[in-house]
Amino acid sequence: MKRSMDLLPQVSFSILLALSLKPRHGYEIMQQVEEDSDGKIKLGPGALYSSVKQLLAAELIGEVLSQAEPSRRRYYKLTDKGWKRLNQELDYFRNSVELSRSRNTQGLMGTA
Amino acid sequence: MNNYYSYLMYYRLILRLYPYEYRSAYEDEMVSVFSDMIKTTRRTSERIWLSVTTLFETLPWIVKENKEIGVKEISDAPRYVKRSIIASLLLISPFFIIVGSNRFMVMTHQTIPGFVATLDRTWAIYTILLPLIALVITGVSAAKYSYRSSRGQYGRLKLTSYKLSLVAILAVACISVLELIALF
Repeated sequence: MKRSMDLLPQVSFSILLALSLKPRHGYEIMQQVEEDSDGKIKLGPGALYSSVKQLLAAELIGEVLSQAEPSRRRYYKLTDKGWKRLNQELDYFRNSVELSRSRNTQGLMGTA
Repeated sequence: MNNYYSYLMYYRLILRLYPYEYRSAYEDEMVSVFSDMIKTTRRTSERIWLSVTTLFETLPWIVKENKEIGVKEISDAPRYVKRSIIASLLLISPFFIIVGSNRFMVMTHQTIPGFVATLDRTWAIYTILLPLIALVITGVSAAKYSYRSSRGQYGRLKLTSYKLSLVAILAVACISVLELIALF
């Protein structure tokens, strides 16, 4: 697979994955990331908003104006660029999984 | 401390450590997330534990954001500002190494017999004078920067890190003056 970009950091990838279902606000993103990772990734507000800032700057996510909740919460959604990037990342992981499976059947990765 | 609002106030205080630009963009949201987290807890002990873990979770990101802003500001700064900061750092470093090691020797001399504090007096004076020279260099460059920026030459460039480094150099210069007084 041709890859001209570096892999996203784990937290950023998890945020993109969490936003692939629907637009979410900060706390919902945290909960979804925890759920998606079976509790292995527990984001705090510091890590979350630092990553959100980077993802916004890279235009991978965008803000959505919430009509249901006129509070100070901001909702975030994936942009077209974000979807493309998420698919690239998933393609890479899919290829890696397939490759490791094929190597496993050939006995290159042990018998586990 | 079981009042919900006291926890939010505590968290807002932590967020004060973030750079202004970051705070103005995300402070309210972060407080809102923290408030949701607090709402999931019931007992005081849980709330205190959450407050402590959130503090430790947030601190590294505060350092990261401040560092990012500082690096960006310095890289955007006019060349003479960069030069003055580098020159000041070069001038201050011997102060930390020589005066610091001298202080250490004096301290250890009091506790470890036979460990003699030896620092040539003339060298000490030169070393202590270096931060004062650094202060003059950055002071002149700061005056130049303020003058030009008051005329709108640099737009909205704030250079918080530059101001902070000025304060740090001023502090070092004050220590050096005290060291100088102590020498005579």
